[in-house]
Amino acid sequence: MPWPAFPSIALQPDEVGRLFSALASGRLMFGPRPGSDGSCRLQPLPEIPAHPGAAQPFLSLKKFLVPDGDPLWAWTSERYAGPPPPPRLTVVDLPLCDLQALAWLDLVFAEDPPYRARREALLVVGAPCQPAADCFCDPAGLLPGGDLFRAGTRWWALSPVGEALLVRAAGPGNLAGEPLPGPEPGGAVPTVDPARFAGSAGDPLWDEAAARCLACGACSAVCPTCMCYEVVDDPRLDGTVTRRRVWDNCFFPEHARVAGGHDFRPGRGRRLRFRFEHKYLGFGPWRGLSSCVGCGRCRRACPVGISLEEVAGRLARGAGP
Amino acid sequence: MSLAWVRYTSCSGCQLMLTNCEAQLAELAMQVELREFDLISSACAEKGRVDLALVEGSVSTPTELDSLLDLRARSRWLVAIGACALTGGINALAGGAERPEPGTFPPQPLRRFVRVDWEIPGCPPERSELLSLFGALRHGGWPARLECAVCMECRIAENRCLLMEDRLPCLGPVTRAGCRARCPGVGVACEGCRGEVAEAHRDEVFRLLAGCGLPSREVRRRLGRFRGNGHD
Repeated sequence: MPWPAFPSIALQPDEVGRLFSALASGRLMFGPRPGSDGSCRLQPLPEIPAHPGAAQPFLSLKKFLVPDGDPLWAWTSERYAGPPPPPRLTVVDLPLCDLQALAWLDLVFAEDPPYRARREALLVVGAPCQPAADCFCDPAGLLPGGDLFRAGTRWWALSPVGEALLVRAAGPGNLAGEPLPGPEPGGAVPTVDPARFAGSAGDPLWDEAAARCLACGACSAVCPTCMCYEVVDDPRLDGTVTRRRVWDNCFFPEHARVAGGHDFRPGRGRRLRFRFEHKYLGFGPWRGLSSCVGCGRCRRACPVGISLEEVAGRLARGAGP
Repeated sequence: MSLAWVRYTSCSGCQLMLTNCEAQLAELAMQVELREFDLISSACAEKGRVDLALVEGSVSTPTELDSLLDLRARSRWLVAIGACALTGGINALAGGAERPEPGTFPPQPLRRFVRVDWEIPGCPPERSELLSLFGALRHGGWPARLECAVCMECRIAENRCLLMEDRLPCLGPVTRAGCRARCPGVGVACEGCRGEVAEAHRDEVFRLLAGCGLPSREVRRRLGRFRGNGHD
Protein backbone atom coordinates (compact mmCIF):
# COMPACT_ATOMS: atom_id res chain seq x y z
CA MET A 1 0.00 0.00 0.00
CA PRO A 2 1.57 3.34 -1.01
CA TRP A 3 2.16 5.88 1.72
CA PRO A 4 -0.29 8.77 2.06
CA ALA A 5 0.76 12.35 1.36
CA PHE A 6 2.30 14.25 4.26
CA PRO A 7 1.84 17.97 5.05
CA SER A 8 4.61 19.68 3.14
CA ILE A 9 6.06 23.08 2.28
CA ALA A 10 9.01 24.58 0.42
CA LEU A 11 10.75 26.80 2.99
CA GLN A 12 12.35 30.17 2.32
CA PRO A 13 15.87 30.70 3.71
CA ASP A 14 14.65 32.80 6.66
CA GLU A 15 12.07 30.13 7.49
CA VAL A 16 14.75 27.46 7.37
CA GLY A 17 16.78 29.59 9.79
CA ARG A 18 13.87 29.69 12.24
CA LEU A 19 13.30 25.97 11.88
CA PHE A 20 17.00 25.18 12.44
CA SER A 21 16.99 27.32 15.58
CA ALA A 22 13.97 25.43 16.89
CA LEU A 23 15.59 22.07 16.08
CA ALA A 24 18.85 23.05 17.75
CA SER A 25 17.54 24.91 20.77
CA GLY A 26 18.61 23.14 23.98
CA ARG A 27 19.44 19.99 22.08
CA LEU A 28 22.44 17.91 21.15
CA MET A 29 22.56 17.31 17.41
CA PHE A 30 23.57 14.09 15.71
CA GLY A 31 23.80 12.94 12.14
CA PRO A 32 25.36 10.09 10.13
CA ARG A 33 29.02 10.89 9.48
CA PRO A 34 31.81 8.67 8.15
CA GLY A 35 34.59 8.04 10.68
CA SER A 36 38.32 7.89 9.93
CA ASP A 37 37.96 4.11 9.52
CA GLY A 38 35.36 4.54 6.78
CA SER A 39 32.43 3.40 8.94
CA CYS A 40 29.45 5.74 9.12
CA ARG A 41 28.03 6.39 12.60
CA LEU A 42 25.57 8.77 14.21
CA GLN A 43 27.95 11.41 15.52
CA PRO A 44 27.61 14.78 17.22
CA LEU A 45 27.21 17.69 14.82
CA PRO A 46 28.15 21.30 15.58
CA GLU A 47 25.16 22.47 13.54
CA ILE A 48 22.51 21.15 11.19
CA PRO A 49 23.99 20.76 7.70
CA ALA A 50 22.46 23.25 5.29
CA HIS A 51 21.95 20.62 2.62
CA PRO A 52 20.30 17.27 3.33
CA GLY A 53 22.50 14.23 2.82
CA ALA A 54 21.25 11.00 4.31
CA ALA A 55 23.52 8.04 4.91
CA GLN A 56 22.94 4.80 6.73
CA PRO A 57 24.75 4.73 10.10
CA PHE A 58 26.31 1.53 11.51
CA LEU A 59 23.74 1.48 14.32
CA SER A 60 20.32 3.02 13.95
CA LEU A 61 18.35 5.13 16.41
CA LYS A 62 18.03 2.17 18.74
CA LYS A 63 21.39 3.07 20.19
CA PHE A 64 19.78 6.25 21.53
CA LEU A 65 16.29 4.92 22.28
CA VAL A 66 17.11 1.54 23.83
CA PRO A 67 20.80 1.95 24.70
CA ASP A 68 22.72 -1.11 25.84
CA GLY A 69 23.00 -0.99 29.63
CA ASP A 70 20.25 1.62 30.03
CA PRO A 71 19.54 2.16 33.75
CA LEU A 72 15.89 1.51 34.67
CA TRP A 73 16.28 2.41 38.35
CA ALA A 74 18.92 2.64 41.01
CA TRP A 75 18.77 1.72 44.68
CA THR A 76 20.97 3.91 46.89
CA SER A 77 20.92 4.23 50.66
CA GLU A 78 17.52 2.59 51.15
CA ARG A 79 15.92 4.61 48.35
CA TYR A 80 14.90 3.90 44.79
CA ALA A 81 15.51 6.49 42.10
CA GLY A 82 14.27 6.46 38.54
CA PRO A 83 16.62 6.91 35.59
CA PRO A 84 18.03 10.39 34.97
CA PRO A 85 16.06 12.48 32.45
CA PRO A 86 17.10 11.50 28.92
CA PRO A 87 19.15 13.92 26.82
CA ARG A 88 17.25 16.11 24.36
CA LEU A 89 18.49 15.15 20.92
CA THR A 90 17.90 16.10 17.31
CA VAL A 91 19.03 13.49 14.80
CA VAL A 92 19.11 14.64 11.20
CA ASP A 93 19.59 13.04 7.79
CA LEU A 94 18.40 9.55 8.54
CA PRO A 95 17.51 7.38 5.55
CA LEU A 96 13.94 6.15 5.07
CA CYS A 97 14.72 2.62 6.22
CA ASP A 98 15.75 3.98 9.62
CA LEU A 99 12.56 6.05 9.82
CA GLN A 100 10.58 2.88 9.11
CA ALA A 101 12.55 1.08 11.82
CA LEU A 102 11.74 3.93 14.20
CA ALA A 103 8.05 3.42 13.45
CA TRP A 104 8.47 -0.22 14.44
CA LEU A 105 10.22 0.62 17.71
CA ASP A 106 7.50 3.18 18.47
CA LEU A 107 4.92 0.39 18.06
CA VAL A 108 6.70 -2.20 20.16
CA PHE A 109 7.71 0.16 22.97
CA ALA A 110 4.45 2.17 22.91
CA GLU A 111 3.81 1.40 26.57
CA ASP A 112 7.40 1.36 27.78
CA PRO A 113 8.07 4.40 30.04
CA PRO A 114 11.88 4.61 29.58
CA TYR A 115 11.43 4.38 25.81
CA ARG A 116 8.65 6.94 25.80
CA ALA A 117 10.79 9.36 27.81
CA ARG A 118 13.70 9.02 25.39
CA ARG A 119 11.42 9.20 22.36
CA GLU A 120 9.69 12.35 23.55
CA ALA A 121 13.09 14.02 24.02
CA LEU A 122 14.08 13.15 20.44
CA LEU A 123 13.43 14.95 17.15
CA VAL A 124 14.14 12.98 13.98
CA VAL A 125 14.66 14.45 10.54
CA GLY A 126 14.89 12.19 7.49
CA ALA A 127 16.33 12.78 4.04
CA PRO A 128 16.43 10.83 0.77
CA CYS A 129 19.36 8.50 0.25
CA GLN A 130 20.66 6.38 -2.58
CA PRO A 131 20.21 2.68 -1.88
CA ALA A 132 23.46 0.72 -2.07
CA ALA A 133 23.80 -2.47 -4.09
CA ASP A 134 22.98 -4.56 -1.03
CA CYS A 135 19.98 -2.72 0.40
CA PHE A 136 16.64 -1.49 -0.82
CA CYS A 137 13.81 0.83 0.10
CA ASP A 138 10.38 -0.69 0.40
CA PRO A 139 7.54 1.74 -0.33
CA ALA A 140 5.04 -0.97 0.62
CA GLY A 141 6.62 -1.35 4.05
CA LEU A 142 6.08 0.40 7.35
CA LEU A 143 4.93 4.01 7.25
CA PRO A 144 8.03 6.10 8.15
CA GLY A 145 8.30 7.29 11.74
CA GLY A 146 10.09 10.43 12.87
CA ASP A 147 9.10 14.06 12.79
CA LEU A 148 10.35 15.74 9.63
CA PHE A 149 11.73 14.91 6.21
CA ARG A 150 13.65 17.24 3.94
CA ALA A 151 14.74 17.14 0.28
CA GLY A 152 16.17 20.26 -1.35
CA THR A 153 14.16 23.17 0.02
CA ARG A 154 11.02 21.10 0.60
CA TRP A 155 10.06 19.81 4.04
CA TRP A 156 7.49 17.26 5.11
CA ALA A 157 5.87 16.84 8.51
CA LEU A 158 5.80 13.17 9.56
CA SER A 159 4.35 13.75 13.03
CA PRO A 160 2.20 16.36 14.82
CA VAL A 161 5.40 17.61 16.48
CA GLY A 162 7.01 18.01 13.06
CA GLU A 163 3.94 19.79 11.72
CA ALA A 164 3.95 22.23 14.65
CA LEU A 165 7.64 22.97 13.93
CA LEU A 166 6.91 23.73 10.26
CA VAL A 167 3.92 25.89 11.14
CA ARG A 168 6.02 27.82 13.63
CA ALA A 169 8.70 28.40 11.02
CA ALA A 170 6.47 29.26 8.05
CA GLY A 171 3.16 30.36 9.52
CA PRO A 172 -0.16 28.50 9.53
CA GLY A 173 -2.13 27.57 6.45
CA ASN A 174 0.84 27.10 4.11
CA LEU A 175 1.23 23.34 4.31
CA ALA A 176 -0.21 21.09 1.61
CA GLY A 177 -0.33 17.31 1.27
CA GLU A 178 2.55 16.02 -0.80
CA PRO A 179 3.93 12.50 -1.23
CA LEU A 180 7.46 11.82 0.03
CA PRO A 181 10.15 11.71 -2.66
CA GLY A 182 11.07 8.14 -3.49
CA PRO A 183 11.76 5.79 -1.97
CA GLU A 184 14.03 4.57 -4.68
CA PRO A 185 12.58 1.44 -6.24
CA GLY A 186 14.70 -1.66 -6.43
CA GLY A 187 13.43 -4.17 -3.99
CA ALA A 188 10.79 -5.19 -1.56
CA VAL A 189 10.81 -6.88 1.79
CA PRO A 190 10.27 -10.57 1.01
CA THR A 191 6.74 -11.78 1.59
CA VAL A 192 6.72 -15.00 3.55
CA ASP A 193 3.70 -17.25 3.39
CA PRO A 194 2.89 -18.25 6.99
CA ALA A 195 1.59 -21.67 5.95
CA ARG A 196 4.70 -22.44 3.97
CA PHE A 197 6.85 -21.26 6.86
CA ALA A 198 4.91 -23.39 9.35
CA GLY A 199 5.48 -26.44 7.19
CA SER A 200 9.18 -25.78 6.77
CA ALA A 201 10.44 -26.96 10.17
CA GLY A 202 12.01 -30.03 8.61
CA ASP A 203 13.29 -28.25 5.51
CA PRO A 204 17.04 -28.70 5.03
CA LEU A 205 17.43 -25.02 4.19
CA TRP A 206 17.51 -24.22 7.92
CA ASP A 207 20.22 -26.76 8.55
CA GLU A 208 22.20 -25.49 5.60
CA ALA A 209 22.15 -21.92 6.89
CA ALA A 210 22.83 -23.11 10.43
CA ALA A 211 25.82 -25.09 9.20
CA ARG A 212 27.52 -21.76 8.54
CA CYS A 213 25.91 -19.55 11.23
CA LEU A 214 28.35 -18.68 14.03
CA ALA A 215 25.53 -17.55 16.34
CA CYS A 216 27.68 -14.50 17.05
CA GLY A 217 24.64 -12.24 17.14
CA ALA A 218 26.12 -9.56 14.86
CA CYS A 219 23.02 -9.56 12.63
CA SER A 220 20.56 -8.71 15.35
CA ALA A 221 22.97 -6.31 17.05
CA VAL A 222 22.98 -4.12 13.93
CA CYS A 223 19.33 -4.70 12.98
CA PRO A 224 17.40 -1.46 13.50
CA THR A 225 14.26 -3.34 14.59
CA CYS A 226 15.78 -6.10 16.75
CA MET A 227 15.06 -5.04 20.30
CA CYS A 228 15.28 -8.09 22.56
CA TYR A 229 16.73 -7.19 25.89
CA GLU A 230 17.69 -8.81 29.16
CA VAL A 231 17.28 -7.11 32.52
CA VAL A 232 20.23 -7.44 34.90
CA ASP A 233 21.12 -6.03 38.28
CA ASP A 234 24.43 -4.27 38.61
CA PRO A 235 25.39 -4.30 42.33
CA ARG A 236 28.30 -2.16 43.40
CA LEU A 237 30.76 -2.40 46.22
CA ASP A 238 29.35 0.74 47.86
CA GLY A 239 25.94 -0.93 48.22
CA THR A 240 24.13 0.71 45.31
CA VAL A 241 22.30 -1.47 42.82
CA THR A 242 21.33 -0.37 39.32
CA ARG A 243 18.88 -2.39 37.30
CA ARG A 244 19.84 -2.23 33.65
CA ARG A 245 18.43 -3.19 30.30
CA VAL A 246 21.14 -4.84 28.18
CA TRP A 247 20.86 -5.95 24.58
CA ASP A 248 20.01 -9.62 24.28
CA ASN A 249 19.99 -11.72 21.17
CA CYS A 250 17.99 -14.72 19.99
CA PHE A 251 21.21 -16.45 18.92
CA PHE A 252 22.55 -16.65 22.45
CA PRO A 253 22.36 -20.05 24.15
CA GLU A 254 20.54 -18.58 27.15
CA HIS A 255 17.95 -16.60 25.23
CA ALA A 256 15.30 -19.31 25.35
CA ARG A 257 16.63 -21.26 28.33
CA VAL A 258 14.28 -21.42 31.28
CA ALA A 259 14.26 -22.79 34.82
CA GLY A 260 15.40 -26.37 35.02
CA GLY A 261 17.76 -25.89 32.07
CA HIS A 262 15.08 -26.49 29.44
CA ASP A 263 15.64 -24.73 26.15
CA PHE A 264 12.83 -23.81 23.77
CA ARG A 265 15.26 -23.41 20.91
CA PRO A 266 18.32 -25.62 21.22
CA GLY A 267 20.83 -25.29 18.42
CA ARG A 268 21.65 -22.71 15.79
CA GLY A 269 19.14 -24.00 13.24
CA ARG A 270 16.16 -23.49 15.55
CA ARG A 271 17.43 -20.06 16.57
CA LEU A 272 17.99 -18.96 12.99
CA ARG A 273 14.49 -20.08 12.07
CA PHE A 274 13.08 -18.22 15.06
CA ARG A 275 14.84 -15.01 14.09
CA PHE A 276 13.51 -15.39 10.56
CA GLU A 277 9.95 -15.91 11.84
CA HIS A 278 10.17 -13.00 14.24
CA LYS A 279 11.46 -10.71 11.51
CA TYR A 280 9.22 -11.60 8.57
CA LEU A 281 6.04 -12.91 10.17
CA GLY A 282 5.88 -10.67 13.22
CA PHE A 283 5.05 -11.77 16.71
CA GLY A 284 2.42 -11.32 19.42
CA PRO A 285 0.01 -8.48 18.64
CA TRP A 286 2.05 -7.65 15.53
CA ARG A 287 1.75 -11.06 13.89
CA GLY A 288 1.49 -10.49 10.17
CA LEU A 289 3.60 -7.33 10.23
CA SER A 290 7.15 -7.73 8.94
CA SER A 291 9.78 -5.67 10.74
CA CYS A 292 12.41 -5.95 8.01
CA VAL A 293 13.06 -2.53 6.47
CA GLY A 294 15.50 -3.69 3.82
CA CYS A 295 18.49 -1.80 5.21
CA GLY A 296 20.86 -4.69 4.50
CA ARG A 297 22.79 -4.29 7.76
CA CYS A 298 22.38 -7.94 8.81
CA ARG A 299 23.83 -9.31 5.62
CA ARG A 300 26.72 -6.86 5.72
CA ALA A 301 27.47 -7.67 9.37
CA CYS A 302 27.39 -11.45 8.95
CA PRO A 303 30.92 -12.89 8.98
CA VAL A 304 29.75 -15.88 6.95
CA GLY A 305 27.46 -14.04 4.54
CA ILE A 306 24.08 -15.43 5.56
CA SER A 307 21.18 -13.47 4.08
CA LEU A 308 17.72 -13.93 5.55
CA GLU A 309 16.37 -12.43 2.34
CA GLU A 310 17.89 -15.28 0.35
CA VAL A 311 16.45 -17.75 2.82
CA ALA A 312 13.04 -16.12 2.30
CA GLY A 313 13.47 -16.45 -1.44
CA ARG A 314 14.30 -20.13 -1.17
CA LEU A 315 11.34 -20.68 1.12
CA ALA A 316 9.04 -18.97 -1.36
CA ARG A 317 10.36 -21.12 -4.22
CA GLY A 318 9.76 -24.24 -2.17
CA ALA A 319 13.30 -25.12 -1.27
CA GLY A 320 14.42 -28.67 -1.22
CA PRO A 321 17.66 -30.44 -0.61
CA MET B 1 34.04 -11.05 54.03
CA SER B 2 37.53 -12.45 54.43
CA LEU B 3 39.66 -12.62 51.33
CA ALA B 4 42.69 -14.56 50.16
CA TRP B 5 44.28 -13.77 46.82
CA VAL B 6 46.61 -16.60 45.91
CA ARG B 7 48.87 -16.74 42.91
CA TYR B 8 50.24 -19.83 41.23
CA THR B 9 52.11 -19.94 37.91
CA SER B 10 51.35 -16.49 36.51
CA CYS B 11 52.67 -12.96 36.01
CA SER B 12 50.74 -11.18 38.82
CA GLY B 13 48.96 -9.17 36.14
CA CYS B 14 45.54 -10.20 37.43
CA GLN B 15 46.13 -8.90 40.96
CA LEU B 16 47.62 -5.79 39.46
CA MET B 17 44.29 -5.18 37.73
CA LEU B 18 42.56 -5.14 41.10
CA THR B 19 45.18 -2.94 42.75
CA ASN B 20 44.82 -0.60 39.78
CA CYS B 21 41.22 0.11 40.80
CA GLU B 22 42.47 3.08 42.84
CA ALA B 23 39.11 4.80 43.09
CA GLN B 24 37.52 1.72 44.67
CA LEU B 25 40.34 0.49 46.92
CA ALA B 26 39.23 2.43 50.01
CA GLU B 27 35.70 1.03 49.71
CA LEU B 28 37.13 -2.42 49.09
CA ALA B 29 39.28 -2.19 52.20
CA MET B 30 36.18 -1.40 54.25
CA GLN B 31 34.17 -4.27 52.76
CA VAL B 32 36.70 -7.10 52.88
CA GLU B 33 39.15 -8.34 55.40
CA LEU B 34 42.46 -9.11 53.72
CA ARG B 35 43.92 -12.38 54.96
CA GLU B 36 46.36 -13.24 52.17
CA PHE B 37 47.35 -10.90 49.38
CA ASP B 38 51.09 -10.76 48.77
CA LEU B 39 51.03 -7.85 46.36
CA ILE B 40 49.22 -5.63 48.88
CA SER B 41 50.54 -6.79 52.23
CA SER B 42 53.31 -9.03 53.51
CA ALA B 43 51.67 -9.17 56.93
CA CYS B 44 49.58 -12.23 56.17
CA ALA B 45 47.71 -13.83 59.00
CA GLU B 46 47.64 -17.55 59.56
CA LYS B 47 46.25 -19.55 56.67
CA GLY B 48 42.84 -20.18 58.20
CA ARG B 49 39.34 -20.34 56.76
CA VAL B 50 38.34 -17.61 54.30
CA ASP B 51 35.06 -16.64 52.68
CA LEU B 52 36.51 -15.88 49.30
CA ALA B 53 39.61 -17.26 47.62
CA LEU B 54 40.64 -15.58 44.40
CA VAL B 55 43.14 -17.67 42.51
CA GLU B 56 45.37 -16.43 39.75
CA GLY B 57 47.60 -18.63 37.58
CA SER B 58 47.78 -22.20 36.47
CA VAL B 59 48.99 -25.17 38.50
CA SER B 60 52.35 -26.49 37.37
CA THR B 61 54.13 -27.89 40.44
CA PRO B 62 53.23 -30.41 43.14
CA THR B 63 53.66 -27.64 45.74
CA GLU B 64 51.08 -25.48 43.95
CA LEU B 65 48.72 -28.40 43.72
CA ASP B 66 48.99 -29.10 47.46
CA SER B 67 48.39 -25.43 48.16
CA LEU B 68 45.33 -25.35 45.87
CA LEU B 69 43.76 -28.40 47.49
CA ASP B 70 44.36 -26.88 50.92
CA LEU B 71 42.92 -23.53 49.80
CA ARG B 72 39.80 -25.19 48.43
CA ALA B 73 39.24 -27.01 51.70
CA ARG B 74 39.38 -23.80 53.73
CA SER B 75 37.46 -21.50 51.36
CA ARG B 76 33.75 -20.95 51.14
CA TRP B 77 33.99 -19.73 47.55
CA LEU B 78 36.86 -20.25 45.17
CA VAL B 79 37.02 -18.05 42.09
CA ALA B 80 39.42 -18.62 39.18
CA ILE B 81 40.82 -15.33 37.90
CA GLY B 82 42.33 -14.85 34.45
CA ALA B 83 43.25 -16.97 31.47
CA CYS B 84 45.95 -19.02 33.21
CA ALA B 85 43.65 -20.16 36.01
CA LEU B 86 40.85 -20.92 33.55
CA THR B 87 42.63 -22.74 30.76
CA GLY B 88 46.37 -22.83 31.49
CA GLY B 89 46.53 -19.60 29.53
CA ILE B 90 49.85 -18.09 28.63
CA ASN B 91 51.77 -20.75 30.51
CA ALA B 92 50.24 -23.47 28.40
CA LEU B 93 51.21 -21.81 25.12
CA ALA B 94 54.41 -23.85 24.83
CA GLY B 95 52.04 -26.76 24.41
CA GLY B 96 54.53 -29.34 25.65
CA ALA B 97 56.99 -28.38 22.93
CA GLU B 98 59.75 -27.89 25.46
CA ARG B 99 60.76 -30.27 28.19
CA PRO B 100 59.30 -29.12 31.49
CA GLU B 101 61.66 -27.83 34.16
CA PRO B 102 62.54 -30.45 36.73
CA GLY B 103 59.89 -30.62 39.44
CA THR B 104 57.15 -29.17 37.25
CA PHE B 105 54.39 -30.54 35.05
CA PRO B 106 52.55 -28.94 32.10
CA PRO B 107 50.42 -26.00 33.37
CA GLN B 108 46.90 -27.06 34.28
CA PRO B 109 43.70 -25.05 34.83
CA LEU B 110 42.29 -25.00 38.37
CA ARG B 111 39.14 -26.92 37.56
CA ARG B 112 41.27 -29.87 36.61
CA PHE B 113 41.70 -30.39 40.37
CA VAL B 114 39.10 -28.49 42.38
CA ARG B 115 35.54 -27.19 42.21
CA VAL B 116 35.55 -23.61 40.92
CA ASP B 117 32.54 -21.52 42.02
CA TRP B 118 32.98 -18.66 39.59
CA GLU B 119 35.29 -17.64 36.78
CA ILE B 120 36.54 -14.25 35.68
CA PRO B 121 38.24 -14.75 32.32
CA GLY B 122 40.68 -12.62 30.37
CA CYS B 123 44.33 -11.75 30.07
CA PRO B 124 44.23 -9.53 31.96
CA PRO B 125 40.73 -9.73 33.48
CA GLU B 126 38.53 -6.66 33.24
CA ARG B 127 38.62 -4.40 36.29
CA SER B 128 34.86 -3.96 35.99
CA GLU B 129 34.35 -7.70 36.32
CA LEU B 130 36.58 -7.92 39.39
CA LEU B 131 34.62 -5.12 41.03
CA SER B 132 31.25 -6.61 40.02
CA LEU B 133 32.25 -9.80 41.81
CA PHE B 134 32.70 -7.96 45.11
CA GLY B 135 29.54 -5.95 44.50
CA ALA B 136 27.46 -9.04 43.80
CA LEU B 137 28.89 -11.03 46.74
CA ARG B 138 28.12 -8.12 49.04
CA HIS B 139 24.47 -8.52 48.03
CA GLY B 140 24.59 -12.30 48.31
CA GLY B 141 24.88 -13.48 44.70
CA TRP B 142 27.08 -13.82 41.66
CA PRO B 143 27.38 -11.14 38.97
CA ALA B 144 24.97 -11.18 36.03
CA ARG B 145 26.61 -12.41 32.89
CA LEU B 146 25.27 -12.47 29.36
CA GLU B 147 27.07 -15.33 27.64
CA CYS B 148 27.84 -14.19 24.12
CA ALA B 149 30.65 -13.64 21.65
CA VAL B 150 32.93 -10.61 21.36
CA CYS B 151 31.27 -9.86 17.97
CA MET B 152 28.13 -8.71 19.80
CA GLU B 153 29.99 -6.14 21.90
CA CYS B 154 32.10 -5.18 18.88
CA ARG B 155 28.93 -4.32 16.91
CA ILE B 156 27.48 -2.43 19.85
CA ALA B 157 30.73 -0.41 19.87
CA GLU B 158 30.26 0.17 16.11
CA ASN B 159 33.75 -1.07 15.32
CA ARG B 160 34.88 -1.79 11.81
CA CYS B 161 34.97 -5.59 11.35
CA LEU B 162 38.62 -6.65 11.21
CA LEU B 163 37.76 -10.16 10.08
CA MET B 164 35.58 -9.23 7.13
CA GLU B 165 37.00 -5.90 6.06
CA ASP B 166 40.71 -6.33 6.79
CA ARG B 167 40.94 -10.14 6.63
CA LEU B 168 42.65 -10.20 10.02
CA PRO B 169 42.41 -13.51 11.92
CA CYS B 170 40.08 -12.18 14.61
CA LEU B 171 38.66 -14.69 17.12
CA GLY B 172 35.72 -12.45 18.05
CA PRO B 173 33.04 -14.86 16.77
CA VAL B 174 34.07 -17.64 19.18
CA THR B 175 35.42 -15.69 22.15
CA ARG B 176 33.49 -14.92 25.33
CA ALA B 177 32.43 -11.28 25.51
CA GLY B 178 32.71 -9.00 28.52
CA CYS B 179 35.71 -6.95 27.41
CA ARG B 180 33.57 -4.60 25.29
CA ALA B 181 35.72 -5.67 22.31
CA ARG B 182 38.73 -3.90 23.77
CA CYS B 183 41.26 -5.12 21.16
CA PRO B 184 39.19 -4.90 17.95
CA GLY B 185 38.17 -1.42 19.16
CA VAL B 186 41.78 -0.30 18.63
CA GLY B 187 42.29 -2.29 15.44
CA VAL B 188 43.90 -5.37 16.99
CA ALA B 189 42.42 -8.77 16.13
CA CYS B 190 40.90 -10.67 19.07
CA GLU B 191 43.33 -13.28 20.44
CA GLY B 192 40.59 -15.09 22.29
CA CYS B 193 42.08 -14.54 25.76
CA ARG B 194 38.69 -14.78 27.46
CA GLY B 195 38.22 -18.33 26.28
CA GLU B 196 35.76 -19.98 23.98
CA VAL B 197 32.01 -19.30 23.95
CA ALA B 198 29.59 -22.10 24.72
CA GLU B 199 28.53 -23.90 21.53
CA ALA B 200 31.42 -22.41 19.53
CA HIS B 201 31.22 -23.23 15.83
CA ARG B 202 34.83 -24.34 15.45
CA ASP B 203 34.60 -25.66 11.88
CA GLU B 204 33.26 -22.45 10.41
CA VAL B 205 35.72 -20.26 12.30
CA PHE B 206 38.52 -22.50 11.12
CA ARG B 207 37.38 -21.87 7.55
CA LEU B 208 37.18 -18.09 8.16
CA LEU B 209 40.67 -17.89 9.65
CA ALA B 210 42.12 -20.03 6.91
CA GLY B 211 40.48 -17.52 4.52
CA CYS B 212 42.65 -14.81 6.12
CA GLY B 213 45.66 -16.54 4.63
CA LEU B 214 46.86 -18.46 7.68
CA PRO B 215 48.17 -22.00 7.21
CA SER B 216 45.97 -24.68 8.81
CA ARG B 217 48.51 -25.39 11.52
CA GLU B 218 48.62 -21.75 12.58
CA VAL B 219 44.80 -21.57 12.57
CA ARG B 220 44.63 -24.60 14.86
CA ARG B 221 47.21 -23.10 17.21
CA ARG B 222 45.43 -19.77 17.29
CA LEU B 223 42.08 -21.37 18.01
CA GLY B 224 43.53 -23.62 20.68
CA ARG B 225 45.52 -21.02 22.63
CA PHE B 226 42.90 -20.21 25.21
CA ARG B 227 40.77 -23.29 24.85
CA GLY B 228 42.50 -25.33 27.51
CA ASN B 229 44.19 -27.97 25.38
CA GLY B 230 41.36 -30.40 25.63
CA HIS B 231 41.08 -30.23 29.42
CA ASP B 232 37.52 -28.88 29.26
